Formats: sequence, C-alpha cells, structure tokens
Amino acid sequence: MKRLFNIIPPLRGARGVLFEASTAFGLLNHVVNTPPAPLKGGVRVACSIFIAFLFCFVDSSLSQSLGTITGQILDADTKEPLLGASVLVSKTLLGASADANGRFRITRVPEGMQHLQISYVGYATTVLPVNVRTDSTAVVHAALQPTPITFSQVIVTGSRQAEDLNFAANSVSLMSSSEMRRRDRVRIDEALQIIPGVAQVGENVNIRGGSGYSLLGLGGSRVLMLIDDVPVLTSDLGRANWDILPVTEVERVEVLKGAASVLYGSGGISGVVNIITKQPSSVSKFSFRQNAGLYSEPSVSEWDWTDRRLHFYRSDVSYSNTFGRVGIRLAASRHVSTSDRQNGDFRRWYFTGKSVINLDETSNLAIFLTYSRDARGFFVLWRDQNHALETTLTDRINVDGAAGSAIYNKLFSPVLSLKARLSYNAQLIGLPFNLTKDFKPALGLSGEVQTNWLPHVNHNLTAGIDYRRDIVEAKYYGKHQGDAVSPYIQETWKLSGIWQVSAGVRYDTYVLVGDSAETQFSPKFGFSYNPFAGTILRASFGRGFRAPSIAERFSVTEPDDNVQLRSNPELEPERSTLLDLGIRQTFGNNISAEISVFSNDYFDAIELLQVNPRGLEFQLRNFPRTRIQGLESEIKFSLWHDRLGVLANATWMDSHYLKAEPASRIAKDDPLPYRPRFISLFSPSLRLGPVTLEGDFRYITRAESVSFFPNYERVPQKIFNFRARYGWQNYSVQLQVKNAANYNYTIVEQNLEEIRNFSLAISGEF
Amino acid sequence: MKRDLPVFIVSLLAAILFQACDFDQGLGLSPSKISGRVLFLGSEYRPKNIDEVRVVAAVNFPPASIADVFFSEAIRFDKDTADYEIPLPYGTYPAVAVLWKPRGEDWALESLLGFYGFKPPLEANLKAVSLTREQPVAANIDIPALWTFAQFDGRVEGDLTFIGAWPSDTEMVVMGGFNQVPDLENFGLSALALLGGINFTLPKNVSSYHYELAVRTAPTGEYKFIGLFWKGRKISWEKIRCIGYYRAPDNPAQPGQFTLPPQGRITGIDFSADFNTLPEGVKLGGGL
Repeated sequence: MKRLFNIIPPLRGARGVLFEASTAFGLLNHVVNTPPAPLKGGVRVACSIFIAFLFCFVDSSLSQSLGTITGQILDADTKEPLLGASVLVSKTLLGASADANGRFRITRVPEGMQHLQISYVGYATTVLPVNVRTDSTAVVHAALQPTPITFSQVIVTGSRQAEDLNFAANSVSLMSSSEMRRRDRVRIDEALQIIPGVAQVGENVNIRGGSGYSLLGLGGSRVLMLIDDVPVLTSDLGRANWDILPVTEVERVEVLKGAASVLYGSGGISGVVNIITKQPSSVSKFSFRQNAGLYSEPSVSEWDWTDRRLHFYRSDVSYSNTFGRVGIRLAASRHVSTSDRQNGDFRRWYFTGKSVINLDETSNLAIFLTYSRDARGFFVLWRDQNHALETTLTDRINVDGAAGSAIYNKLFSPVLSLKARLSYNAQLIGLPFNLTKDFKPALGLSGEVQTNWLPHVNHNLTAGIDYRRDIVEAKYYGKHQGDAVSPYIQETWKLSGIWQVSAGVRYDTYVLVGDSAETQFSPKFGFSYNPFAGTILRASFGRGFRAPSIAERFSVTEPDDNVQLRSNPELEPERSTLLDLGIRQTFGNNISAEISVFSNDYFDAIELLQVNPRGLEFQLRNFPRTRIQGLESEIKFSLWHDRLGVLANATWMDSHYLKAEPASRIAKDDPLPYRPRFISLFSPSLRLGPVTLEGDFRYITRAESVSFFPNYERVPQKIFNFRARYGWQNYSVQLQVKNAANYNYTIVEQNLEEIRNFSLAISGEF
Repeated sequence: MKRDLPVFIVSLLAAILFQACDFDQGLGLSPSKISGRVLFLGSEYRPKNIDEVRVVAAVNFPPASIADVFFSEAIRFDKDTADYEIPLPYGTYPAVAVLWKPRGEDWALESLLGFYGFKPPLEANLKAVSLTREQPVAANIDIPALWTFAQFDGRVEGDLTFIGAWPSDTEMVVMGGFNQVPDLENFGLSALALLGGINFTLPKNVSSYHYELAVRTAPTGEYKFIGLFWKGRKISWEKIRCIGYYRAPDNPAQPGQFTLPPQGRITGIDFSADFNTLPEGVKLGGGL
C-alpha cells in the first residue's frame, strides 16, 4: 500500500481515491458539456475499491526473469499460414494472435517450462511445451490439423479474458469467419441461426426464447451486442444494429447464453453476442469477395408481383498491412438487393477501419471505426395472403450508423494487465419521417477501465468499471440524457486440476438526467468440473438487468401518424435470473456432444401493449413475470479422415407467463408470443479434395402465440440450404441455393420470409 | 480412391433421398374466402373526405381490436355497388361489415357503414359466415352500406363504471347515442332511427373503461340520451336491455343532454351501468 501512496500523493483514503476516479470521468464529461449524475454511495465505494486494487499491484512480478517466444502457425495440410490463430501461455495473461504469415511473438514470458495453447476455429487445438530461458528467444512451429468441426477454442466472452471454451462455466457458442463466409450470410444476426437455441424474430436475435418481436423496432434488445468487447447498443432505442459491420470483417462471433450481465452490464439479460473483428496483417494483403444472385419465381404464381428479374449483389474489398509499429485494416462493402418483396429493396454501404499501434513491447492501442448507411424500403405487412409479396405501404427509411473505439492495453507483468477504452456509438434514422431537422444522431459515449490479475497460479481476478452516457434528441422522444456507471469484479479459482469456480458481481446504476436512479446488484456464480478426460460438467447462475431505453420511455407519435404511441416515463427496468446446467463430452478427436438445461425468469419485461382497441395505439409497459425453461443439445462429429462433418442441434423450450395480466388479455400460463417450442438444425458437410459440399436443414415449430394478427395461418419453418465450394490456393468459387425447397413461411405476421434464391460467390486474397 | 468410396456412397444416398422427398410448400394462397357485393345507400350523405372503404370480417364479436378483423382490398365507393373479396383462413366469422376511413385518419371500428344481416331500415340481425374445408367459399355475402353512418364527425368521451358482476351469458355491451330519448320499455329497432352514434367495441369483463363514442353532429348535434345496452347470447337485437345511461347533473332521474357543434368533442360524459337491473334468468342465458 505504501507504493500506492507514492504513485498518487494526494490520495488520503476513499475521498482522495474518488477524486481520481472522477477525473477519469471528466474526460467524457468535457465532451458532452453536461455534468454526469452524482455517483451513488454504492458506486463510490466500488470505484474506490477498484482504483485501490488497480494501483496496489502495478509492480508485482516486474522483477521476474523473462524471455520471449516466437513462432509460426500453419495449416498442417496446405502449409498456409493461419491468420488470427490464438496463442496463449498457460497460467499467465500472455498471448498473441498470428499475423497474415502465421507468425506471432510473445515477450516477457517467465523463465521455465511453459505450455502454449494454440487454437483456431476449424482446426484441432494443440498444446505445446516450451522451455523459456531468460533474455533468450524460444522458437515454436505449430501445424494445426483442419477439422470440419470446432471441438475446442479460446474465447474471451464470459470472463472478459482468454479462456478455453471447454472450461467455460457459461454456455458459449462460436461461429468463425470461414463458417459465415461458407454459409454466405449477409448479416451477423442471420449468421447466428446455426447456433443452438438462437432464432431470429424480425430484427431481434432471440437467445433461448428471451426476445419476442418489436414492432417498428421499439423495445430494446435483450441481447447485448459487443464489437471487440465494446457494447454498441444504440442510445435511443437500446437496440443492436446488426448491420453496422459487414460480416467479411468479422474474425469470429462468440455467443454467450445465460448469466451474462455480470461483466457486461445493462442489455445482456438473455445473452451476449461478441463480434471479434479481424486483426491487421503484418504484410500487405488485399482481399475481395464478389457475390451475385437471383431470386427464383415464387412457388405460388399469384404472388409474382413484378416482371423484373429480382436479384442481389455484394462487393467486399479490404486491405491490410503493417507500417512499422502501426498495423491497419481498411474495408469497404456495397450490398444491393431488389429483394423478393415489394418495397423491400435496399442499398447499403459499409466502411470499416482498424488500426493496432504497438506502443512498446508491453502496450498497444487498438482503434476501430465503422460506418454504415442503409437506404431501404419498409415492408411492414403484406397486402393479403393472396398477394403475400406485395404491400400497400411504400415508406422508405435511411439508417446511418457509426461506432468507434480506442482501446489501450498494457501488460504490467505476465500476471497483471490493464485495459482502458473510450468508445463512441451513433445512429441516425432519417426517412420515412423525412424530418432530418427533427432528428439528431443518438449518441452513446462510454469509457471503461479493466484489469486482470493472477495473484496466484490458481486465481484469476478481473475487475473494472464502465461508464456510459446516452444523448438523444429527436422529435419522437424529446431531449434526454442518461448516465450509467457500473463497477464489477470477478474471481476465477481453480480448486484443483479438475474443479474451477467463478464468482462475480456487478453494480449497475442508471440515471436519467432529472430522474431517480435505477440500480441493481447482480451476482453471478459458475463452476466447471472435469471428472474424466473429455468430460466437463458446468453450472452457472446470475442476475441480469436492463434499464428501459429512452425511446421505450418517451416515444410519442404525432396525432396523424398511422401508429399511435403513448409515452411511459414510469417504465421500470427489466430484470432476469438465469440458471444454466450443462455437460460437454468429447469422444476422441472426432465427436463432441453438449447438453444444457436452463431456466430463465424475466421480471417486468418491457413489451408493447395495444392500449386502445379501436386502432393501432400502443404503449410500452412492464409485463408480469415470465419463465422460459428448456433443454438444448448439440452434437458434432467428423468421419473418414475429416471428410464428412456433421453438426446437429436441437432446443426444446417452454415459455409462459407466471401471472395473469387482464389489461393485456394475458392469462396465467399463456405462452409468450413469437417463441417457438422447438428449434433444430442438421448440417452435414462433405470434403472431396478441393470441393466441399454442404447442406443444412433448419426446422423450427410455429410460434404458439403472436401479438398482433393471431388469426393468420402460421406454419413451422422447414428450410433447406445447399452449397458447393471449390477452393484453389487463396481463391474460391461457391454456388449456393438458399431455401432450396422454396418453402413459404412467416415468423412475424403478414411477412413472408425469403423465397428460394441462387447465388455465386468468388473470393480471393493476394 | 478406395478410401473415398464411403464418401461417394453417402453423397449418392443423400442425393437420392433429397430427390425422393416430397416437400410441402408451407403457406400458399388462402384456401377460403368471402365474396359479395356492397350496396351503397344514401349517396347524398357521402362525406367528401373519404380515403378508403373496405369490407372486414371479424374473428370475434365484438372485435377486441383492429387486429381481430381481416380487411378486403379497398373497394370503389363512387358507384351504387361494388364487388369485394376477402381471402380468409377457415373458421367462423361472426361479423362481416363495411368500414370507411377518412383521409389522414386510421381505421376505426366505429366507422361502420353496414354489416351482413342488416336490412335497412329495421332489420338488423348480425349473421355469421362460416368457411370450412367442405365449403371454403362463401359467395353472395351482400352488405348494405348507409352513407348516413359516415356522418359521425363528433366525439363523446367519458368514464363508464360497471356495477355488479358481468353475466355469464354476455355476448356484448353496446353504447348508443340518441337524438331523442328512446322508449326503453318497448325498445326495438325503430330506435335506430333516433341513433346518432354506436360503439360495438367496448371491452367485456372490466370494472371501468374510458369510452369514446363517434356521433353525428348533423342536423342539430343535439343528444338527449347516451346509454349502454346489454345483449345476451340468447336474446335477439330487438330485445337488448339498457343497463345504464348518462344522467343530467342537476336531475339524476333524467337523461343528460348536450349539443355538439360540427366536428365537436365533449368530455366528462361519465355514467354507470348496473348489471343488477337485469332479471336473474336473463343473466344466465334464459332469454326474454
């Protein structure tokens, strides 16, 4: 403690510590010219503890004997370098990602025998022993064996630090960039549908039944979207803009189901989707992908609404290089579609930039910026079932989205690291309101400081504090500002080689300027147990919290608008308790199976209620307690020297209200709207030399209940997709048929989903 | 090559299996429909601010919300007749009606021009239409539409309080605004001639409700009776019972009166409706 006082002389007890914390907040405060809401007592104490914690251990382990590990990671078959492969030094915070040549370098590694865990999505993970000597460099060459199935992977979501997926106490699923490219997904939310327990309802990602449908985008997201660990929910609607980033710039997506909020805070009450973007390459790399496709004729000739040939195309280009200490990655994309539905067409532009500046051997600064513009029509409802691809509404909308972050990473020692970030998130909705003077971009400014410390070889402590300010000014919401301050801490303790326990807590405070504070103390517990080789038992329990968004509280429409909205400033936050038990079993190197049971309760869920039966007049209100219980299973295996890979998953869910709500015409035990009871996927792939054939069949039962037009016929989803890909060196050609059976279904009333379409994609890198 | 043989066999089997599968196509054209003709009456009363006229079929009556009705395409309203068609799922539709919508306003269930079973001036028996697999099409569902009903440009608002338990036989409660006090002892469809506004869409099984009643302000805008009527499932429209009405503030024994100017709105027309005034047998579905 003495050293702490030497570093920060003015500190004299908790008051002094708080002064320093406030100075950090002052940076943001200066930007927005409005004083942040005063910190509450609980937050003050937590801030103080955190700052003290941070500076107490800054110099620990600095005096150790240290060496360096360098090496290269290649594909065992093709000898191609694996860009983005992860290398971790076990029992330390040290790690690196392979560059475009597959090379990596880890400095300040403690002397002695170390173990490197090397992993990459689509490849078998390997662990290599390395003998490190003081002031010398150990060289490692690893060749990873490709496998159609990912059995093990290093993840960062769930504990906010790199950890082996196999030891995670939470249920976490992964999707790699290659998988997204192979499946030809345009949007990130669409790509997530192969993950067990995940379904899409309109623009909402529904994890384990946590989300329903949000009419007109109202109703904040219960899934927290992160880009490189940075929350990017919009400040006005509290929604995830899944279209802010092209999927070609995504390295992988990690989906955390259950007990997520503790370390990530408001928003993730049913799960977290963390989008990890690609790293800059160490050498000049240019990559491109061109995709073009045609929609088939509708299976019902009466639905054919135009003589035009309906089509879509996408162009993605990116360039990456490193100049001295500065690595950059720049990307641009253009997506255009006529859509298969009248007035469903869109034109999208994306610009993305990422730079990693290596300040010295122990610190770097990562800067990320993305901008997207989406100009599109608005298909709200079909004309009628006999004209299912036509609409009478012709509104159009422009959405501009931008997000940026600067993250400073500092490694004080192999066991102590610090991460500090500032981030910015903006969204501007233009037409159909056509009143740009009435709308200003909804701004979210945030900052966070987080530290990871390994005080002992079996302990891993993560602590941090984040701050967010929402600034919204729009005709339909009014002018509002809100502040969120949330300290958090989590300890992971390896009791022995086979037991791991984690416990954490987060204290969320959200204050709308001029209003009272909403707070929640959110604990989380988890454990994993590895009784036999290949067997992991895990359990986790946690509480979640989501403050109502500004749009949810204050949206009011004009008297002559088609849909009438009433404000509800008294809206309470949503809360959840999430329980998850699971077993993960691998058999040899080829078979992996996982079963989870979950029980999630939601309190005061915010849903849209039709308040006036005479017309479309709505208000967002807190609904009675609901419960969603289910069983989730997944099996992956590969046969015949990894030529045949099979992925199959199935989720059964039961969702219902635990209490009646007469005003909403809800009876006890009524099913929740838009929640299917059963979700499944069967996806085999076959590799024949340079040719890969792949298919998937998705079956989802019809929602038992819907909110607005319950009388229209609803059918289950039965979707077949097929792909054939030919790969040659760094180039590939892919043919795809989506919805091959041309099956017609709706997820949201009066909205026919995409009909059959064919596409051809060419991609390459040089 | 030997090593690849199982792979080829599996892919061949998969291809054969896929070819052999008989996939259903999910949703298709609506298999059933209601069609007929709308007969417009009283074109001299047709408002100038009409945006659209459509036929709707309600899945419940009274419909709990606009979501409980299926709409036809917009139909022509500049002639005396117009044909319509509504594609619908199988089921029974207790009401098929004609609605109109003023320009710049949303659809409202009160904007009624007529319904199936209505034969002006006096016969008003709401008729249900059923669509089954055996009889998927209901044709000749002709509906008279009175333009005089489109003159509801005024609004009456207030709080409605219910006294007593809702009878189990309740089919609906209907609110009516009358230019003259109707004969409540011999209330029949002749009272329709006095009707200035009607609301079929009041919710059931509530203890209170803030109502809105669309009413005509022509020719005088004078209202002498705002009342609530109860209809049991087993009683006919001619025998619906008044269970409460707006009372004069200075003389509660008498119905309250007021006058609305063109496009006027009056609030505070609060009153209560007492189910205890109904005979016990009627409440249980005994009829009258």
